[in-house]
Amino acid sequence: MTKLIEMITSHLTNWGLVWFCLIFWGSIFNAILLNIITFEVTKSFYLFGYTSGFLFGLFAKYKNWGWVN
Amino acid sequence: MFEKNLNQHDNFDIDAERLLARTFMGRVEWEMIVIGLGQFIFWIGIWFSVLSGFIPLWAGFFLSILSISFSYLPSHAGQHGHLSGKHKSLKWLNAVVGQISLIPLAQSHHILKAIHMKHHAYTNNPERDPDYFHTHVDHWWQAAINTHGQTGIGDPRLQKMVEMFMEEDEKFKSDIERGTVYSLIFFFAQMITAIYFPLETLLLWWVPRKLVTSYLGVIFSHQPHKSLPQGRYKDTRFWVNGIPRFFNHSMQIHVMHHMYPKICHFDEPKAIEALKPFMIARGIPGAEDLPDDISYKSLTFK
Repeated sequence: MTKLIEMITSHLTNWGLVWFCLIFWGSIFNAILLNIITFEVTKSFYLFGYTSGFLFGLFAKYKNWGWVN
Repeated sequence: MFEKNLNQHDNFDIDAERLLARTFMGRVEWEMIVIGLGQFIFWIGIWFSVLSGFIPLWAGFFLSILSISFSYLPSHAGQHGHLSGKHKSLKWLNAVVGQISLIPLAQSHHILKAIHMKHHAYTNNPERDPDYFHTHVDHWWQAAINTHGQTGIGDPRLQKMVEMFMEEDEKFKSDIERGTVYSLIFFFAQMITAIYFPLETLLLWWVPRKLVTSYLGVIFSHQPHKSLPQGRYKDTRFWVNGIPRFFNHSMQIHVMHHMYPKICHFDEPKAIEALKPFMIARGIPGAEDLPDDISYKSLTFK
């Protein structure tokens, strides 16, 4: 159990911010977009929010923005 | 009352100070248990009310900010053992209530405890005080921003300090490791909640806890300690900001907490009234301007 937590912690130390932005901010960006747009969208449109979240995560990692999570 | 105390302790020696301070220690701070559990239940109630459409999201947002602003102090009381007082059999209350209270802030009680104990041990030391980087800044808004370095991946300077403490202090290391499990739970919990309730998670959890963290950095660290040197009677000040003490979580009298951390938060006003002559004799910043009776309205203006 301790080893598993160590492995997860080690991975998240490097990539946690990107994962967080992809899932947390991606979901939020999606929800905001769906609230703003009035026209019908295809399922692939959902990728837009998560892609934005992922890019935001890479940028946050580059800038060391710990506050985003 | 001031004159009376002066006559009682005309030598102001440390033993007399400690003897008097000890009379305010040891009780179970039940008020903090009520606040800790109460604000958590209230916050869950806000979620339930918003999701069931009973109140709008914007109302839930403002209520969450108010509610979460009460979530740190009960954990802080637990960090100092106030929730169990002198009763060893109740020690579990400190960690359990402390952690439940911190759920809205998505913070680990054990990590905050480990870091806070180092703050007490090395207050205002640039090399060893974990609060130094958001306390000793020029403006309050810098404190409000820098305090976020204490959460998430954090300020690299603080990370370095934490690694140093982990190497030299086994208890600190154990608390950090224990707390990491809770941090991971919060990390995943926020992501999962965001998938199902994205805007609610943003406005009932993430934004309120960020605003409250800024508030904590300014009111709990920056104002009481900014620009002060190290030293038991020099590192904390009495201060005012024009707002009644209640709305600042009584942090205007934070100096009492640094003199005697074992005195419960709600007993500090009475302890200050009794110890005021000692505080003046020791030259504590702001002690001379203290009123003889510390009420919720006092300390608003000098």
